[in-house]
Amino acid sequence: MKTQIFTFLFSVLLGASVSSQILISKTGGSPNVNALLDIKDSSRGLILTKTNTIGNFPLYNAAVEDHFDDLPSLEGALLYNKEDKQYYKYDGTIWIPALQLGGFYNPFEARTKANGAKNWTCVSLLGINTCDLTQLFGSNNRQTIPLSNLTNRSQLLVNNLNTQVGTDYIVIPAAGLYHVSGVVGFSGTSLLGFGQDVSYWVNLDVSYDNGTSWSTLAFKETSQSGGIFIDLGQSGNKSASVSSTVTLPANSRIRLAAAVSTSSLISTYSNSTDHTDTFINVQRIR
Amino acid sequence: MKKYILLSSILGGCLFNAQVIMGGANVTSPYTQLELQNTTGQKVLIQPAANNSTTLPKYNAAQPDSYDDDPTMEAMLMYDKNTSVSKVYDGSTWKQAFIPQGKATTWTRARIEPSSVACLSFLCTSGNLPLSIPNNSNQFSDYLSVFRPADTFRIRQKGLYRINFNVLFNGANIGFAGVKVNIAIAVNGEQKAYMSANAAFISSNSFSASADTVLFLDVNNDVNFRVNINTPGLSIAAFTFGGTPDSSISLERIL
Repeated sequence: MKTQIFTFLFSVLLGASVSSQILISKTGGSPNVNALLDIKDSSRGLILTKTNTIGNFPLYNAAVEDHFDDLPSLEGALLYNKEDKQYYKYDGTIWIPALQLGGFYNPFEARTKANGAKNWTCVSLLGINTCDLTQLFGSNNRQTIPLSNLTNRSQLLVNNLNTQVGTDYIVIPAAGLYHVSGVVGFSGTSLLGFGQDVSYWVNLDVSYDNGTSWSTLAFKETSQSGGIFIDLGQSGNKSASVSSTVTLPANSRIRLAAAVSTSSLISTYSNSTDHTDTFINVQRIR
Repeated sequence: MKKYILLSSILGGCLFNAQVIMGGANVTSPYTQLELQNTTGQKVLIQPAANNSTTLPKYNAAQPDSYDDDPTMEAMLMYDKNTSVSKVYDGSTWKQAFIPQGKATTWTRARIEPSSVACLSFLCTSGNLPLSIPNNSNQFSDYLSVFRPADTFRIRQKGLYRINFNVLFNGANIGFAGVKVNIAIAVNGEQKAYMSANAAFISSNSFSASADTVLFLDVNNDVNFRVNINTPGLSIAAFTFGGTPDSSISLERIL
């Protein structure tokens, strides 16, 4: 133990007095000219600081959007997390696992959130449900969701594809193969329904003529299956999504539409406007 | 004079556990133990370098993973000259510490372990799907480092994730009348999203189903998958899931 400390101190003194560089070595030598700290050893490693969980990281703050406070002067810091056994790097805003990239810099991504809420209501009278009735006559309560052109780093609302965002559509800037996802968060309640009583319909529509005519690009119905029988049940926002991998020409427009159908006595739903719940994500594949 | 300050701060560091700065004089953040201050990028840290993977500390050819276990050495960094990568010791073995630029692998695929669901009329039991990531498998890996035994994914990085399940199951049923598999995705214990799939008939009493969705998840979200089934026309049914390579849950980070 003593020997080790002396070795350390000696080399520190040596390094410091010559060039303000630090060499840690049992075998002497001099630090590399470009090294501020040079640890020379072929059989012993370097241990940096470590912690047990992400919750113990510096600047962790569950109350802020991205869970970490910003501190530009700490950019480049390294810290080991024992929970998932890897180093994390701090980019000035968040801690990122060393084996991953920060999503904000993904050059193939555009994500835009809802700019307002739409409402859906179904009422049953004498066994006839208004939503069922309109569906019987070939219609439903489908509504197009308005979109926001807001970008926000901590919310991962990025526009690295340089898409143009209209009031309720986005414009694909260049022809290519895209993975497009539409996600809608629904909140609301239904009373006196049984089991499989709520289904969420999410549409991605496409227009190839600057919005004059629209057709369905992808559609999915998500059943909130067995709502009262699966133990956790009805509370909270529910997420429904549809995705499609498709080639799109330049200037095609994409919009997000949704509908709700229930057979319960009365139900009323609206889409969440939170960026985590309702958004269109466009990923360019090639 | 500067050198003395530097020196004393290092000595201070040794003796009093203070913050240590090299290449500068001012502490810029309260969160560092050791800081190499050099804004031009011309002065760096060189970590110790081993000649190859057999000269890394704790090497033991007799171990299946080639290294002895030592939790006290966890987080050690060392450069492997043979493979030209920085490696980190995780308490049991050495693995690559950082990624080449733009080369992150962004998925986790876990095996669904055997479990079962029973139904009496439309009342079905439900439970978290048990998951595992078998060692040394080319089908199952946890590149997102999110898996927590035995049924949870704990999210490390905020973002948009594509979630997919494939499941092969067997039913002690009396006829096949359009069985539907439903998986509820529970986030921090609250049902957030649903994946439903009609089961395809494979062979006698054997079916498969798959579905996908995308979901925005946050740091430290715990994600579980709760399964149940719809069995129209059946009054009593029991199904066993998983336990084969066909049955898996995958999670891919899109953004």
